[in-house]
Amino acid sequence: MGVVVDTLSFLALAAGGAFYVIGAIGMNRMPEVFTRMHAVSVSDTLGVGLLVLGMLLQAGVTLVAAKLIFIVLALWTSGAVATHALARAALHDGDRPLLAGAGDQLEHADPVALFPELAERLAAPLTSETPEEEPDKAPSEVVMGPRGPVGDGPGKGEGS
Amino acid sequence: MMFAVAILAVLAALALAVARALIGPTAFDRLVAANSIGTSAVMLLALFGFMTGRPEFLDIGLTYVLLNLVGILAVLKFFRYGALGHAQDLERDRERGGGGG
Repeated sequence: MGVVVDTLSFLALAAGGAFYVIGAIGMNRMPEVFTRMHAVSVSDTLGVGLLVLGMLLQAGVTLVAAKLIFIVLALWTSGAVATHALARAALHDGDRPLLAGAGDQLEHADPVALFPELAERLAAPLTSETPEEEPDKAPSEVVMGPRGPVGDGPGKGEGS
Repeated sequence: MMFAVAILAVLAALALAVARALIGPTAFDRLVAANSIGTSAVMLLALFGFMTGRPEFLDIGLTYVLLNLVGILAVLKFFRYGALGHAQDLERDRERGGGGG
């Protein structure tokens, strides 16, 4: 029994380490930021998951196992949140994803041409509010921040 | 012994992430690498605790996970608003003509 658990644990740890390094290699070899995020997600989900699985098999049913489960859940959720926020910020900052264009050449794609409904979202300033809140906002009220237009914050005009 | 193998793998990934953080042409590349470095630190803490038979290191790892999330979101908020403050305060400062906190 112990040998079986140890073998499974070693396999999980080795596979997790392999996926972890693969993700890190992808982060260095991919051409631009969106594909790099895609590569890192391998190590952030599968690599971390398998490493923690290997440790869980060693820990057995203890308090340590509960802590490990909390760690992996926090890493999975925070990884997804951080990736989403990063991609959104990069897209609004003007970074355009590389896609296969004519003749298998990589070219910076215009996401609006692919998804027309994106035009409105990208033209609108980044705010923490949902976009459909004030649809007929006059464009003259857009404030220019240091990195482009800055949105009217929530509750503008309601303050003192 | 098997933990040592995993630690070596995580260390290699950590070195690659540091390389990307140093090279990375845009700030977002550096942020991707920073996020990966934080994850690697947590995994190193957990694996090192198991290797030395002291799983108490997991508590430190748990703290690092939460700090990592807060740090990344703070930097991204800085990108969005140009300052780290409450959005309403930033708007008010801007209307008064001052710089945001």
